Formats: sequence, structure tokens, C-alpha cells
Amino acid sequence: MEWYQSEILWSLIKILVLFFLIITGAGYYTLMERKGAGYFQLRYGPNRAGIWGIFQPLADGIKFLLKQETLPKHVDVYLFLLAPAISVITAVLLWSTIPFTPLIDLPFEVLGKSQVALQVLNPGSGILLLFAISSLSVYGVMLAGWSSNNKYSLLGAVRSTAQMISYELSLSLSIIGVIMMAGHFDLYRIIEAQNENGWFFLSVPGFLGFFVFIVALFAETNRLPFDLAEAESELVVGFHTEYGAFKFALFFVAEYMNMITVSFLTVILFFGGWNIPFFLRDMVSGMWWGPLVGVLFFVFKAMFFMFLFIWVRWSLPRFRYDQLMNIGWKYLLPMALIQIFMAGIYLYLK
Amino acid sequence: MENIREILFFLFAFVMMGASFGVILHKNPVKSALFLVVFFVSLASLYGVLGAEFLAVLQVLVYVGAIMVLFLFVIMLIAVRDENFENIGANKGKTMVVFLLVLAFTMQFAALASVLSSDDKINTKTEYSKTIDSAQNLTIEGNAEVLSFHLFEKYILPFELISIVLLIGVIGAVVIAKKNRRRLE
Repeated sequence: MEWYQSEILWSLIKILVLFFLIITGAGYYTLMERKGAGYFQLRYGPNRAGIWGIFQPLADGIKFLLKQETLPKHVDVYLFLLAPAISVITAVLLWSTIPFTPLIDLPFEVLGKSQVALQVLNPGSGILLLFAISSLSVYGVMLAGWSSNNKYSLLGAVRSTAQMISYELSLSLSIIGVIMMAGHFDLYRIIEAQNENGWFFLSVPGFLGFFVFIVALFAETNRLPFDLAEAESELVVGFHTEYGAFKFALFFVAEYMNMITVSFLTVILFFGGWNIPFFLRDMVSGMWWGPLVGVLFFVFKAMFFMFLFIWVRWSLPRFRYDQLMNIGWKYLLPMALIQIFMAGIYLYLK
Repeated sequence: MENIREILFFLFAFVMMGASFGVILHKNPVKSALFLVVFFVSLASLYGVLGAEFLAVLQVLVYVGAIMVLFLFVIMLIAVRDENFENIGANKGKTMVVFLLVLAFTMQFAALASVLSSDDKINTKTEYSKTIDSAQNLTIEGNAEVLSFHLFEKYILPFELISIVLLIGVIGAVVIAKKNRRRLE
């Protein structure tokens, strides 16, 4: 066996590539957010570190690393330190199941296959694994709030937990229509199903599911207009009030990583992933760079949703807590249930 | 490969043992609940080692992601203090009862284990595919498919009965909560 035929080596390469991408992506997403916020408010945003502030994420990272690490007196030390780690670990783990590229032809054989996709693991229950990991991320917020021994932190954590429980229900129900139409839990096959039948967004149950999905995502990622867990006008910054320096940076980075992940997930579930538009399909078919064009479209579509998060954040005010619960239980949940019913009818008629 | 499987089994089993002791011995209820989370996650990993990835994912999704979050939420809200719990061993009689129960359980478990080990070894390989209809050569593949075939074809009656039991539980909870509210008013 050749030395490069080891499965561990190839997984390691994929993991390293994805880890580099997610760290850089999150860094530059913060820059995009700050720039976007600047233009929404008729100012420039960061523009000192390099041209267009291109080195700003690097400078921020160095700043967070060099700040003094402080530990408040009455905290529960182990859980206090564990909480940001859980947040960032779940955020990184989420990337393991997302297929970023279709199968790409290789000039040589690897592990008996001549094709490879940039996806660390592809379990049969891909989308469920993704939801299982993301359901763990609530522990980061919860433990941070509880272990801080601070009223505001605890209030933020309690709010966040209640919010996540309410919205995770709608979120997981909203994708059932897609799973029914695709017939698989596997993310790769969900994209392939859209390659054949068109985007799920364009079908009736898919459209309804998308609407519920995107609203629930804002709640799940703790973004405005649903960021009650860190409502700065009421709770200082909520669950991470007591955190500083790099521990805060971990929460911060995890939030942006999660937003990138869910942007890609939205595209995978409802907008056909790396599907190539019909007018380009004949042109690229059979070319070795064909899949890469698809990846380019994939990233562009995901970038639109990343922009949507910024757009909404700087356009809408925060909801009140009772309004948040009303939307979750009285509107989104029934809509998600109707969507499942409609998916059944859709499949029956097809 | 089999070797790695065995090492992983003992690793997760060890973590599970430690975590379950943590659940019953730790004085802080929040940390007890967290030990239970660790227990569930390592149990899911154990399922994963056995090849039942679908079950593993559901274990994490349902128990860790939903049930334990609710548990912790309630514990945090009512804010139980450490002093509410007496020291372990303070009450001799209770300690004795717990000790005897644990001993009885361990003996029973050992008996069960010896019975099982005398037979064939526990099947560590999962059926990834199953022939539904050999005449039409219909097969299903994958964890979720095999599981749902068993649930919705073979064991449909118990499955529906369980869902009715759960429904009864939900209605019961609502009734109990309503009663308390009326008394308060």
C-alpha cells in the first residue's frame, strides 16, 4: 500500500482544509458584518488595517490573544471555562457533514476511488447528525450563563434556552418536507435530488418550509431580531457578560461560524447546493472544471444568506419576549405542520 | 479494526461508569444533570461503535438536545442549593438500603452477563441491508431504512400503543397543571 492510501491521512487533510476555511471565513465574516453595518449607517466601517480594512480580522485576533485573561471571583471555574469550548467545538463539528463540493475526478486513485468530495464524513443520517450537533450548542450558552454567577448572565441563558427549545421544534419540523421530497437524510443525495427535480424552494411545501426554516434560523443563531439572550439594552450582553479576552472571542467566533454553516445548509436544503443553472449545464458538462463552477455558485448563494443575516440585523428592531414566544408557537409551528401535510399531498400527486 | 472497536467500547464504557457515578454522587443538581449528559453522549458513541449510527444520532438529538436541556432549564429556574441535600452516609439506614440495592443489581447484571457470554458473542455487526421480499428481490439499505421497516411493518401495533401512552402522559401533565392553577386562584 502506498503511503498516501491511508484513510486517516485523507480525513486529516480534509479536516485541516475545512478548519482553515472556517476560521478564515468566520474572521472575514466579522469584517463583512462591520463593513455592512458601516454602509447601512452611512459610514465607512473599518478601513485602517490594510486597504478596505482587509487585515482587520487579523488585528482583532491578535488583540483578543494578547488581552489579559481574567477569571471572575465567584464563578464555577470548570464550567466557566468549558462553556466557550462547547460553543466553538459544536460550531466546528457542524462543518464535518456539509458536502462543499460534488465528486471531483482525480488524476490518481485514492482508497480505490478516483473521485473525491470535500466532505469529512458522509453518514446515512447526515442532516440528523447536523441537527444533533447543533442541539448541543445550547449547552455552551446555558453553562456560560449559569456558571458566571451573575443575574444578567443567568437571565440571558434562561431566555436563550427557552428560545432554543421553542424554535428548534419548528426548525426540525420545517426540513421534514425536504427530507420527504428527497427521500434521504443524506445531504449529498438531497442536493442530487434537486439536480433532477429542480430546487425545493420552487415547490409549494419547500417554499413554506424555507420560510419557517429561515425565521427559526435567526432565533437559533441568536441574531437580531431574536437576540434576546444578549439584548444589550436590558442584560448588558446576556450570557457572556463575565467573559473577556479570548474566552469572549470563542463565543464571538462560534456565532459567526454557525451563521456560515446555516447559510450553506439553507442553500443545500432549498436552493440546490452546487447545481449549475440550465444555460451553463451543456457548456461545463464533461469538463474537469465543471464541478468547480458548481462550487462557485454554491458559495455565491451561501454568501447571499450570509448577507441576509447582516441585512436583517441592521434593519429590524428586536422583538419583545412574549412576541418571540407567540411567533414560535402560534405561527411557525402550525406552518411547519401544514408544510409536512402539503409535502405528503405533493408526493401523492407526483 | 475489531481491536479498535474493543478499545473504543471499553473507553466509552469507562466514561459511562464514571458519569453515572457522578449523577448519583454529585451534590450539585446542575452538575448531576451534566454528568447525565456525558452519560448519554457516551452511550450514543457506543451505539456508533456498534454501527447503529441512526440510533446514536437520535439518542443525542432526543435525550441530550431536548430532554436534558429541559431538565437543566427547570433545575436552573428553581435554583436548588447544595445545602438542601444531606451528606452521603449521614443516614445509616438509607445508605444501607441503597448499598443493598446496588449490590442486588450488580449481581443480577453479572448473572445476565454470564448467561449472555456463554451463548454466542453479541453481534457487533449491524444489518445494513435487509431483504423485504425475496421473490421481487426488494432490499432496503441503511440504518434508518432498516429501523423504520421494523417499526412500521413488523412492530406497528406496539409502536402506535407507545405513542398513545405518551399522549396519555401529555394529557395527564396538562390536567395536573390545571388543577394546581385553580387551587391557586
